[in-house]
Amino acid sequence: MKFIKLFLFVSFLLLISCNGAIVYEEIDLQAETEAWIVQEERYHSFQMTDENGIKSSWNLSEEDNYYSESGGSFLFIPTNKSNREIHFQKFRNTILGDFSINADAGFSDVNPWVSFNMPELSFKFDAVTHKPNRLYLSPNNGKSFSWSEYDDLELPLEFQVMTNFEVNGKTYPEEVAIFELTDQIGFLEPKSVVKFAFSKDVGLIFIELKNGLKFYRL
Amino acid sequence: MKILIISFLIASVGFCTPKCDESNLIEAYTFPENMEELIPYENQDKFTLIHNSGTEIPFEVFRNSTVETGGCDHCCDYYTYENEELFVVSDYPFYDIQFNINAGEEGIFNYGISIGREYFSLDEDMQMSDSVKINDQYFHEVLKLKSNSYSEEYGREVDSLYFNYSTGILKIIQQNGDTYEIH
Repeated sequence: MKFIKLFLFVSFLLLISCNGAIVYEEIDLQAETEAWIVQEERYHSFQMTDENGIKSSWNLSEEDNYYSESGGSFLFIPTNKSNREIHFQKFRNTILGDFSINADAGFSDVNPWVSFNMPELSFKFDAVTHKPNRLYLSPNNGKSFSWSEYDDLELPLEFQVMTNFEVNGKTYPEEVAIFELTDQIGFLEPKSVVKFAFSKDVGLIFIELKNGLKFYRL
Repeated sequence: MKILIISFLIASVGFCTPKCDESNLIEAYTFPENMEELIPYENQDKFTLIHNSGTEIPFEVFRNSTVETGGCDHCCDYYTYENEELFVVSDYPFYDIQFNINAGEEGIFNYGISIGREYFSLDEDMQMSDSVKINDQYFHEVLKLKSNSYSEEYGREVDSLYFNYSTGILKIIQQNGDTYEIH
């Protein structure tokens, strides 16, 4: 009897270890999520001006569209594999630092997400529900602070996605992601970014530093 | 037997590794005596640039004087050279500005100023303008420097730097036409 049980168990393991038993899925970016990626050629540049009229330029310095492989296993035997699409863009500004965006297709049971990254700040939100789900602050004092949707802590920020957003006399009809740190920013420096707006069809349109200085897209 | 073999191997490694009983200073490169005349700022000096929009941007200078060591890997000989770094910083968001000056052979020294991703190198035989009017003030022996760095992909951000050894940075001209002039 024991031999039969062992035989059945080994057969089961063999069965799930066969390549055919591995559940394989390829998750492409949905158009809705990919729309956060700016449709511009590499090295495209645009200018922003601060409220005192001082201009600086941003360059699309890096772009990548790739699939990231990940998988699960049971008793060290692979059971599923997924290949999810990620689209990445980085914009370089010599004065304010780099700004990058990732649009990630997510998993079959996890919604796609979008993340924005700046020198001292990284923020991720659900591309379907528009709910913030991660914030990471790494100020220059060497400390770092992290909040996620799984913590009991409330994220110290306000975030919304809205259409017809108006800033500096311009209206942006497409969806605009507006991010603002609300509290816990005592450790950030005066030149740290605490607020920004990113439009789906245009890209970065507004930045505000902790010292109150605002930058608008030209 | 094993111990003997291991000892032999360790001893071999020890003998094969070149060792310096004594490091030899072969040269000490120093700045010329008049170097201080060529560095326009003292530590914690302050100055202001005015953007063409009228915005004033205050700067503070921090100097760092060191003697650096150079040489090749696994060499016993080494040399030293005097080095000056000046960091020009502002609370207003602006390009990182840094001066790098280091002593070389036969009294020659390298003198460079970086502004953001642009680099301006100064040579002793550069032509100077006798007199240049900037922000209603006349400055003498002014160097009009063009950026040495150029990236085809990103283009040039800062086009020119006006500089003299007595006052320092006099004027910065950006590629987009914006200017910053000494107060």
